[in-house]
Amino acid sequence: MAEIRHSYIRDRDMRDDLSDDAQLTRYLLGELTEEEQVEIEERAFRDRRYLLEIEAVECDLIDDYVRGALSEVERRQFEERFLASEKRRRKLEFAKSLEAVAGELCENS
Amino acid sequence: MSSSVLTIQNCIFPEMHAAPTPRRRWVLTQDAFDKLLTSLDEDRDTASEKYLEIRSNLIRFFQWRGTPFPEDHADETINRIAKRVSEKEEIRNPASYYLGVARMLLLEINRERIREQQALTEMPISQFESESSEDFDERIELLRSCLRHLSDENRQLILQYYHGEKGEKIDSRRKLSERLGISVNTLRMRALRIREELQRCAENGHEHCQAMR
Repeated sequence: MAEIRHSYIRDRDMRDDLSDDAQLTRYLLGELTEEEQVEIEERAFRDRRYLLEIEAVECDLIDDYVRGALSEVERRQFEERFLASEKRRRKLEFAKSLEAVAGELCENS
Repeated sequence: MSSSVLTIQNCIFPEMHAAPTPRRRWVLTQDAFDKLLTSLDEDRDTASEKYLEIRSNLIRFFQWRGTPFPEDHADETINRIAKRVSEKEEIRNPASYYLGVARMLLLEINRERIREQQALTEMPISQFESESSEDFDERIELLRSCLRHLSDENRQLILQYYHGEKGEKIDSRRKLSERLGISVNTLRMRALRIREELQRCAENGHEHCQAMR
């Protein structure tokens, strides 16, 4: 019984994480309303853990772009927002290297 | 003098980049900067730490909103607040206040960008130049070398965490978190920290790899 409950809680947490991630992905692509963006930013400034979650979602989004896993619309939104600053372009270059090296090392292991 | 105070002194007057500023810059004086720090905390070291955290958050904010010069925009935000503080404006909630001023600046930046785009209507959106294959190979080699500097555990973690397509990644991360006996969120924070260190190492060399082990 305890195991079932544990598994239920874990699955529920996972679902919450995924829905948060989807919202944060939309934020990073500039799809949210101004009000929704403000809400996320206010929370990020108050809560360091949440701020790091946004950074983690940003890394996944960059990796998805590198792998060509974004839709046409998302890819365009990504390029408009992410290629604007040099720091983010460096993140993108790093993601390309990581993708190449991780693929090669995981195949060999 | 603490390292955070030194760091601040090194970045108060950074080299100017080509960031277009919507308004004429107000010049930050030492006196105004001191008052700004005091408004954050009476203890100088604590104020310095708060200042660095706020600046780093502002840079993130401008990055998230897709502006081209996040560091310059963060500094401009701070300059505007320093000006208000020097004019004796009281700040009750620094986080909200700084974010509010940053948003006002963002509006100006966006207005400016729209004006520029209208002036250059026929110009395509600029894409950054793609690097050569030699540069890419060099970066790959550097990254391989940085990965060798990681502990076995961290190397396995980062490779497994970021490997795979969207769907399979979710499942493999869950399995990884179960194997390590930590929550998915804790795993995510660990992976993010290692990734950031790895990027620093790949960009700056091995002296930055020590923290990764």
